[in-house]
Amino acid sequence: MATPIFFIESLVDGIVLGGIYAVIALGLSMMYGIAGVLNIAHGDLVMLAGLLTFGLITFFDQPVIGFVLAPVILLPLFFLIGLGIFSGLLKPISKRSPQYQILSSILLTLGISFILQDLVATFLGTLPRSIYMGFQPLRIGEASIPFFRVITFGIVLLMIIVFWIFLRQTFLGKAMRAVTYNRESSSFLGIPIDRVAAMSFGLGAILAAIGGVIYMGNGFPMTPFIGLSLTVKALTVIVVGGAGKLAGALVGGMVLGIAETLTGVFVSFYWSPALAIILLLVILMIKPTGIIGD
Amino acid sequence: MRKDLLRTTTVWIVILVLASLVGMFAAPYYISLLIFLFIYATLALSYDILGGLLGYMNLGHIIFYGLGAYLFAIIINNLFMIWGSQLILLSVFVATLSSVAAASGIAALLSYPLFRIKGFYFAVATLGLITLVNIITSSPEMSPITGGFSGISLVSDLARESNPRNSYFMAMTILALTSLIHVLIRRGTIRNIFSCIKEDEQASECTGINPFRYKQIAFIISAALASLAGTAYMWFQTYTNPRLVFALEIAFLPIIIALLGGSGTLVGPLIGSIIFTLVYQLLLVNLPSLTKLIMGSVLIAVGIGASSGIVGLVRGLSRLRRKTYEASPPY
Repeated sequence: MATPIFFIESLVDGIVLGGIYAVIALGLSMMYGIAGVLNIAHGDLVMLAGLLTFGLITFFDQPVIGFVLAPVILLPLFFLIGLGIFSGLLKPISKRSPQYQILSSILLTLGISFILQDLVATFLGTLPRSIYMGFQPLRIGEASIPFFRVITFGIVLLMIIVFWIFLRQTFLGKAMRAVTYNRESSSFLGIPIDRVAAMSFGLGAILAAIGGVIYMGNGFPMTPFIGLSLTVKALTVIVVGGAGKLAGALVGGMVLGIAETLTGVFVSFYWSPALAIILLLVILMIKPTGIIGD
Repeated sequence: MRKDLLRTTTVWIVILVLASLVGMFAAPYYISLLIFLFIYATLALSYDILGGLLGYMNLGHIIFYGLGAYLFAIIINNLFMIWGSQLILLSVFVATLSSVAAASGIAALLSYPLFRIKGFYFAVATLGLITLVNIITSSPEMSPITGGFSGISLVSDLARESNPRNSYFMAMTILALTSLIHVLIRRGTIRNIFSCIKEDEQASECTGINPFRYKQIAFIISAALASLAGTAYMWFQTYTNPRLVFALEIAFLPIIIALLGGSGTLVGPLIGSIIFTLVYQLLLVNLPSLTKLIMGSVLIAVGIGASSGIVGLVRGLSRLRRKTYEASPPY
């Protein structure tokens, strides 16, 4: 079973999965860094995007058309959803003292997560859904790599580069970095913190949508109840790689993705979902202050 | 103050006597409803020790409830094989105590990694722990002990000994004990230390308090009480599986109940559990598919409503009437 070819194929799977985790975690990390709220419904946004893609593909009965159309429809929609979640629910509670703000925002985002789960389960059913894009796999030597893995890898790289340029070159990106470094000073400098935070929620939701679309496109199965575990995975990625760092998210995602895939292939698929939380606890144990030092 | 204490004690004793009378004479349906009410109230109050008084939102509180149920079942099944049906009361007692002790030990171990984080990270890490425990208990490797996916049940000869009435008194005793501990914590000096840590951990460290020690103590107490609730649940239901006790739907019950009623008080979680038990039963019977949607809406409503709960609302109203405009914390 454990031939070198098989190992390489699993490694590619792990890297691609890690890239998807990195994109998802990037959104979560941005929301947390700028708005100061850990969006527990982040994984559910990913789930929503994935299952809406599934809906589009079955609607058109033509994987490629549905898949190209999905980002066009979903990205603006998710931007609005993110903005709506922040300005409708989270902004009103941002004036409270930190203790109560944390408590209220955990409750709010959990509530959103529950509502999304129930709505999706009602309309699409609770069965695991996955799609097959129908491309021929690439053959490199003896290893065969599904074509969509390569596309995903490209998308993830593109996202990281676009994001990097966005953070360095645009005014909004610079404002976001400033708010992440020092909230008070940046408000003295005249940066509209609330508006920047709302934008960060919109962009974070877009990243979640991209994550959901490529997760689905790779043929990974998805149920309406996958959201919370995806949030935990994204959090693990942030803790492993360090908060607010692009390279950190990429490294953390790769570590988690490869570890999960190899555990699944060489130990047992039963145990691979447990890996994220074990990794999270172990890292918190080793690094006394946590890798994210406040 | 003294007189006040006397009056409160009398009221609670009367309530306890009334509850015992209900337990002796009510119809089985109401008794089982009340058992669930007691279990939910115990969970909410024990959650409140760490969540309300210390401000650490332990979303994985339900883990200890499930652990209590599982450990109780495993221990009492083994005891029954050794002691037989003669010493049934003793074996229930021993099984309860030892499963609570084991759950507290697990809590003590878990507190080392968990209390290195706070706020959001603590909440999500504890949430992830539920999934981990679920995976471990239902794994094929553990199934000789835990029964895997299909769950665990009491030996049938033993299950015959369990009836709603004795489970009722067990759950009632556990709730009374939990309330007592909650009150003792709130009345004692430890309350000041807890609220000190809740408000500012660094400042309290500077005044010579060891925050970790107190957080650990609170965590262990709340875990022990939750596992007690689990033993009562197991004795009453005689069967459970990972999807019943380690499910995310149930994980939020203690939190919703405590915050709905009013966190940091004794009456709050009790009122919350009364409302919740009735509404939840109605929902599960009439609208099972919308339960999560409605719970989500309740979560959002509680989150927006400053989470001072019903007790906070009533207090706010009475303060308005007395026209004393003192500065008060949101709880």
